[in-house]
Amino acid sequence: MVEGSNPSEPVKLFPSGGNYLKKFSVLDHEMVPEHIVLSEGEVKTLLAKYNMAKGQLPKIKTSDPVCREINAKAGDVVKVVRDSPIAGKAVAYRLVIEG
Amino acid sequence: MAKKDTVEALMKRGVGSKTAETLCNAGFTLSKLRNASVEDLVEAGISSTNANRVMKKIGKPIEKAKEVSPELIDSKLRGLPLPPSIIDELQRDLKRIKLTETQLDKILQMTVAAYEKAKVEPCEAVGIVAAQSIGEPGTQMTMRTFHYAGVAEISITLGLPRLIEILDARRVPSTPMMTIRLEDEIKSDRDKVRKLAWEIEAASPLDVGDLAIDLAEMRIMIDLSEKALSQRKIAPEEVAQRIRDEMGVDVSLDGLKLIIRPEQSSYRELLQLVEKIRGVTLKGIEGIRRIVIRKEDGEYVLYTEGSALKKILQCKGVDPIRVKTNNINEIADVLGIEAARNSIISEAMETLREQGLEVDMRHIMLVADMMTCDGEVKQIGRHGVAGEKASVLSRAAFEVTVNHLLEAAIRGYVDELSGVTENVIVGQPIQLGTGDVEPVYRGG
Repeated sequence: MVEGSNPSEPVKLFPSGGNYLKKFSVLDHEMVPEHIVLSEGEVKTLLAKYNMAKGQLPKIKTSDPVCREINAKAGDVVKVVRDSPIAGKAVAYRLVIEG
Repeated sequence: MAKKDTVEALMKRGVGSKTAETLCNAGFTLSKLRNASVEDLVEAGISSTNANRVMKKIGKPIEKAKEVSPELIDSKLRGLPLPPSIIDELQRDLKRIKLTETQLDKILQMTVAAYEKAKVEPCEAVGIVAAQSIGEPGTQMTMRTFHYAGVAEISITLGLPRLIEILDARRVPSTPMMTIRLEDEIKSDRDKVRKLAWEIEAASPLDVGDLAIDLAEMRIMIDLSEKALSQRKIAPEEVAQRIRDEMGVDVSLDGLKLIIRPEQSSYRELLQLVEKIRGVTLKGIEGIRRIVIRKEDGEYVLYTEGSALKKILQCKGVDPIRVKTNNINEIADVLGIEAARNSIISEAMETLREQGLEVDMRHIMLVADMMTCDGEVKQIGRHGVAGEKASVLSRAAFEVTVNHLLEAAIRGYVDELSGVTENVIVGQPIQLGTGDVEPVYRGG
């Protein structure tokens, strides 16, 4: 970003010289649904309800921008509440894995 | 007391003489009649129509069933195994009409039954149905890549090539494009929007001046245009400094003329330098080649050729919540895998819709789920979903046959024959639909 000796006043694209990170949470974006980390008990109930093992769930990586924001660790299960044009709301679960 | 009195009393109230007599003979008195029901009268030998008439004239007035209250509707809807959209619809429509409780119960019962019937049955071959549902309209799509003045002079890939790009999870789309919406304060202000657009658009030295190679003196001359410079608010010194920084060559400035002398005075060096100069970003976000401003619904929207999601989200003036891009991998990196999944669905739906084809969203949702189930965007082809199958025969039947078979033979792989393709090859029933059902012996 070139700043500096400009005749007229420029629009500062990145205030504070590029170190400025807008108070923007990835979860605010319209394409990102709600992500919630489940507690141990909730995970147990979920697995029991579907009679499945943790590893059979869809996955999400620890490096995923949303995981970083909600501080999900490997082994956690994240509940995703999606907006569905068909059903209104749809719930999905993802197991957090290293990556 | 006498029967005659009863008959007279009945007749006074409008009951036919014959009916009255029958009633009397059956032992009905006026008071008995009042508490009787239609069935009782029918039993006594009166036709049901007549009985109804009699009851209307004499019997207790039928209590009009109570109308249900909105609270009752809500409480009944709460526990139902229905998706939210259907519950919302029921809530809206039921509250608009008058209902009795029995009617309400009946409606809810029928709705739940219809929903259950509409659900997919276990073992249904949804994958194959989805593949066919997307593939069939695919044969009707154009294979030409329109250089299409779709969205204001910016050309984007459409049709079949675009769909293939999406499903192949291409790293970078052939025509990356972003749709940028701005913050409320400036979104209706034309000048401020233009200012921002000039700031974001990547400018190279060639955009602000004409380049000429001076072979005699082995140098490059750039004639800067004052108009272009002032439009983008760049000073000539900046251009010089930028080129100096980026390429470490000797640059001298004379008014509006830039003279660049390379270290080695060779023809090749000069030409290489020209190419490098073309790539220098003077100002703006790298990658954003061109910006078009359009007014939509009262606000100004920026359409860019080129995509740089992370940087744009941080720009002052940009509304980060509504920024869109067609680069799915970028979305996965910056916004997460769920956003990428939504992006795959919307891009595919839009591509099909643009071609005039209608595919039910479910099929595309299934494909998107398969592509994103492991936390990253995988392609459908042999470097992704298809290539990760455990079955040797399945992979061999898909692509690169000999390699797979050879490797499997060398390493002694075992094929469990649990999928569709391999069972078809071998000639056994597949584990879908009927084939997924097995009789079980229960001893005893």
